[in-house]
Amino acid sequence: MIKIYAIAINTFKEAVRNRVLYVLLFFSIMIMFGAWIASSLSIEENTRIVRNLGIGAINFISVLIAVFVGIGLVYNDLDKKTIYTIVSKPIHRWQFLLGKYLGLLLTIAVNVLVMTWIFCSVLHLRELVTGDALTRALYPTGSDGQVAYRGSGYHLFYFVASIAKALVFGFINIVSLGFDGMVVTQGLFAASVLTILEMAVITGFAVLFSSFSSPTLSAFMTVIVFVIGRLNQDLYLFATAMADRAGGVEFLSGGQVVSYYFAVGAAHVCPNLSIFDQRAAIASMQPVMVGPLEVAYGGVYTLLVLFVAIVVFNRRNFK
Amino acid sequence: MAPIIQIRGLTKVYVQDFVGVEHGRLKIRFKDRRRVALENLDLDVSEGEIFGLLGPNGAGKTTTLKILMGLHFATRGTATIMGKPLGDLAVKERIGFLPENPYFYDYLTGIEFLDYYGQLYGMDKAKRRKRIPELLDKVGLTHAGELPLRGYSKGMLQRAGLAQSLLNDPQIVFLDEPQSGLDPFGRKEVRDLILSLRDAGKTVFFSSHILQDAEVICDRVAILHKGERIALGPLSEMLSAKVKEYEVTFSNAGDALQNKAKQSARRYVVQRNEYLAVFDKEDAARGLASEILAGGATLNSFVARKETLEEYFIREIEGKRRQEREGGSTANSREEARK
Repeated sequence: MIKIYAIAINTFKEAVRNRVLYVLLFFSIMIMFGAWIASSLSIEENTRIVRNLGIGAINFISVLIAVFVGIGLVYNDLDKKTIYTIVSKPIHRWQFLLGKYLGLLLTIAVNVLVMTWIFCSVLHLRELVTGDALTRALYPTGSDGQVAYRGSGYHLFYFVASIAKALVFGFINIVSLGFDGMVVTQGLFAASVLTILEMAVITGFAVLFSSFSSPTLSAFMTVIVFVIGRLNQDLYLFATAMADRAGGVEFLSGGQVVSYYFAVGAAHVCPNLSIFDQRAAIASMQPVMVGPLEVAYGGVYTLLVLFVAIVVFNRRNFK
Repeated sequence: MAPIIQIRGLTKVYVQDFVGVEHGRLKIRFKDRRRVALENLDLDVSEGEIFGLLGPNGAGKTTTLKILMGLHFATRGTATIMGKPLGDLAVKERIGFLPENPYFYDYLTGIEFLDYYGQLYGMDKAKRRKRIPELLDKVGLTHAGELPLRGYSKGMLQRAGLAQSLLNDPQIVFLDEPQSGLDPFGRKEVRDLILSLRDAGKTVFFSSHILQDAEVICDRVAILHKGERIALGPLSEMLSAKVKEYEVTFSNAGDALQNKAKQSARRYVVQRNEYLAVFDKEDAARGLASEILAGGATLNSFVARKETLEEYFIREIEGKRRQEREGGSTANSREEARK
């Protein structure tokens, strides 16, 4: 166990020293502030836009990290032959692969939580520096009912204090595991846990593909699995609708049969990632729950993918 | 006593991909995709000896080491280390390995790197804390322990690699080209380290194409050529004990002495103000030496030279290549005759 832990921690260290990670994090922050600006252009439902875009950014950046940072981490060990000195140590190959996977997952989990913290802070800041809150802060009503003005110097102080306050509130959202009762960030922690579960599956595929193919091909195949996974239910509906319209599978023409079986096959082989996607509930302030189904589905699927990766990895010669 | 490493009929055949890049061009192969890297290798290595696996590039040295280290799987044949099959974790705990041109995680410092590898050996923290400074001192990297590996020179990386291969105080150390890319100082240090390992009772199995060093340190060697073992044995038996030639070097000689040396020697070389005459027979060499002394010239050296490992190696490899060419031309002529 100590060996898997050592490999996982080293993988995490390697990932956090990768500049690509920080570029992606910066990019996610830009999207979150962009969402704020975009929401101010909307007449109604601006909170819905901010929440939808923000959680979408976290999800999108997480996939990019899993694909571009994750694949490089396994492939580099094979390409630069670092694996020679590791596999010759008293460890099993599966321990190496599992350590790498856990290190990657830890990297992604930390990043998702950091992005969620930033996003929660953006939402708190938005509440503090726009609308009534700002008016009340800058133009307080005295006990005599008179509206006062606190002066231009107070503006700067208020903004800086609001940023600090928003960061603290965001941090509370994370450390309280979402059980904080704050309305503005309701469901975001649960959504981030679902994203981590989804990334557990995607990272498994990234590790599987990078254990036997080049980084470009691995990245391509991982993205394909992600896209099919997200469209899983739609693909299945498309296939059944096509068959229904023709009056049954046996009445489909040649090209349609190929499309039908491709869609049904892809939907069955690739994971159904839409169960982890709760953006609609998040945007409309509905409660988001991480249920046993999501945990079990993510866990079992990940174990299966890792099992295949280990079988492949155990049989290969390292160039 | 049972050999500590035993290899029997070890064969490795690589099957190349259908599509590959060769000399910068895309190549599609349907036929001839099989390449034999190692063929029926038999070897026994005894405990406490320094065993050298020698051969030109592509001879199968690294393939042998990769199979022994569990990085590649043999197509046929078996090998055991300490009587156990390859991949046995108990054996891996007692061996060390340094690959050729090693690359390590360059974001780690020397100490972090050794600490990580110590964890892979299952060493506890107290043991790692004690062992790491000892090893850094042993390989001369104490001053660089806090520096990240990305700032290390090639020689320093090689030393760091040596340190990781010795972390567990191994019983057998496998070294793949440990001296490649090192300057003369580095080579000497590695040579001394290998000798000190033998003195400590360790077995060292290493591959190299630096024959001068192999000659100095190896107890026994095997020479590989195109995957086949073409020679095996102790160096003392392998290299002819009899003197191969006599070399006389002299200076301050007159024209007459120079002409005489030129005519009688098998080979005569002038280098600045020094002359070298090489003789097959001892008498002829002695005769020239006497004349040098009698004529007032300076006799710089008189050397009876035995065959070196390099000469043996080149003779064996060239002999093998000649055989292959002749075998090839005989096959061709047979083919033509059939037509």
